[in-house]
Formats: sequence, structure tokens, C-alpha cells
Amino acid sequence: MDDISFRQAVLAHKDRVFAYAARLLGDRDDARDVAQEALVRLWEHRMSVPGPGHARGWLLKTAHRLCVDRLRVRGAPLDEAEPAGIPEGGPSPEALAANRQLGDTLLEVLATLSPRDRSVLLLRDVEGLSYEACADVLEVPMGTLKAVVHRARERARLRLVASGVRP
Amino acid sequence: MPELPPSCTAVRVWLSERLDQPLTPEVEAELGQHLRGCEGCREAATGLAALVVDLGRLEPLRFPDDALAEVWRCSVEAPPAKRQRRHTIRAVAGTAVAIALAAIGWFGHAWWGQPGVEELSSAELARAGAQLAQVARLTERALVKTERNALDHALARGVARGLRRVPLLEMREAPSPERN
Repeated sequence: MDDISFRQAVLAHKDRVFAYAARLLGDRDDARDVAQEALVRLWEHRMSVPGPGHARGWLLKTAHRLCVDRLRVRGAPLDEAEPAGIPEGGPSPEALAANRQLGDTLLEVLATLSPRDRSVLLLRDVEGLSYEACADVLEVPMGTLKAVVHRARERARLRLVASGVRP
Repeated sequence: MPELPPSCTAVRVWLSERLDQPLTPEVEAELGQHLRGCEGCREAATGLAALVVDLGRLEPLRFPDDALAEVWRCSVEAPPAKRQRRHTIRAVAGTAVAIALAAIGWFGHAWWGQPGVEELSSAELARAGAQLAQVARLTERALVKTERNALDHALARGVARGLRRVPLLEMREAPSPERN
């Protein structure tokens, strides 16, 4: 990848990488740091990235690794089977449904999922990556990924039902 | 997740798969038959489809402009004057290596009693000159590659280290308005 391709790739993918990190980490400041580092690493390794078509996957994979590192530092379990539900003492499901837009509620629900479930939903259903690309970013076999996507969707759906925005 | 009857468990997987790709006609028929008799799976089908649509409509986020400016700093090329000086150094180094190789060859010939330059034909001399020029070019190319890799690495690492720390310090003093 030459310098011009690098600049085009940054302009094309910077917002997506930032959004992915922000929603996975739940913190825009950390996400800014992660996205910035991923883009700088693309510059460092631009000679080994085959072409602009590979930049998106490369950036998301790098951002994902950086996010996982940060989540580990926080001590967050990455792959728990049944993550904590909507915290007690917070807004009730009825209040959530009444006072917030669906997008906000969806983000709240995403935040209650495990990082692994969150990452597959973000990559597959928000970013629209193919299963092959998701498997490459997350470094898991295809068969495992399909099962993880199914479980993550089902958990998110049940939490949306519990929050009252879905019947 | 709640325990589901065995038939519903398989159906829920199909419901998710159907959102990514068409099912085979046989599976689709079996799924339709199950959905007609199972209200829970019908609700799941509606909910999963809506979930995927809603996720695809999440509001896009914008990477901050100041962070982007810092990324661009990494891709700034060295000033032309420095590049010209480096080019001269590389050319001199390449020529020096070629001359050193020629000298080694000369003394080798003299030491082992092989014919000297004065005894070579003009064609052999021309071939030897071309080979020396090729050695000089290859040496210069190798130097360019090594220097570029080292420079890029140092530049990117140095800038990245600096740009990651400064904004973090600034943010602690003045929290981003987006978070409030």
C-alpha cells in the first residue's frame, strides 16, 4: 500500500474503526486512543498490507486486539457465557422504554452483553462484515463464529424484550 | 438464556441463519411449519429480524478531527533538502563499496598470478565495468530500503508515542464535552 492509498484508507475507515471501538469499549476517549493507534499502525505496516481493499479488515482486526487489551486491563471477562444483566438500581425497563429512543436502548443492551457477544454483533450486524471477514478479525473458526453470532443475537433480543421495547 | 424444547432450539438457529442467507427449501418448509404452531418462535423471528435492522441503523460516529490531524503527522515525508543529502550519501556509499570490491578483485588477481587489467581485452574491461556499476546500484538500493524502513519505524513510533500521551493529559484537564 502506497502513501496515497494509506490516506484514502484512513479517510474511508476512520469513523467505522472509531465507532467499533467506542461501542465495544463503551468509552469514547479510549476509543479515540484505540482508533488513533490502529491508524498509526496501518502507516507503520503499510508496506505489508496488500492493498486498499484489505485496509478495513486490517484496521478492525488491529482495533479489536487493542480493545481486548484494554478490556483485559480493566479486568472485564471477555467471554463469559451469561454476562450480568441490566444492573439493579438503574432505570427500570419501563422507564427505559418510555424515556429513551430505541437506538439508546439498543446501546444500553449492547453494553450489558459480554465483549465477545458485543464484538460479533458490531462486526456482523452493524459493520456488515461477511462471516469470513468476522472470523478473520476475531480469529475464530467459522463454525464457532456462526454459533456465537446466533447466541449473541438471541441474548440481545431477550434483553430488548426485558427492557420493554420489544414485545 | 431460558431452556427451549429441542425443536425450538434448532428453529432459533435457523431464524438467525435466515437473516444472513436463504435457507434450503426443505429447511424453510420445516421452519414455516414450526412457526405456525409456536408463538414463542414467531415472536423470536420478529424480534431477531428487527434487532438486525436496528443494529444496521445505529447512528454513525465521527472520529475527532484533532485525532485525525495527529495521524496525518505520522505520514509527513522528510523535507526535500534532507532527502537530497541522503541520496548523495547513498550514492557515495554505493560507489565506495563498488571500488572496494574492484580493489579486492585487483589484488586477488595480482596475488594469485592471474592476468592483470593491462592484459584484458577491451570487451572484458567493459564487462567488468558494467558489473561494477551494477554492484554500485544494488548497494544503493539496499541502503535505500534499509534506511526507509528504519526511518519510517522511528518516525511512526515516535509520533505515535507523543500524540497518544498529549491528548490524554489534555483530556484529564478539560473533559470532552461529548461525554457530559
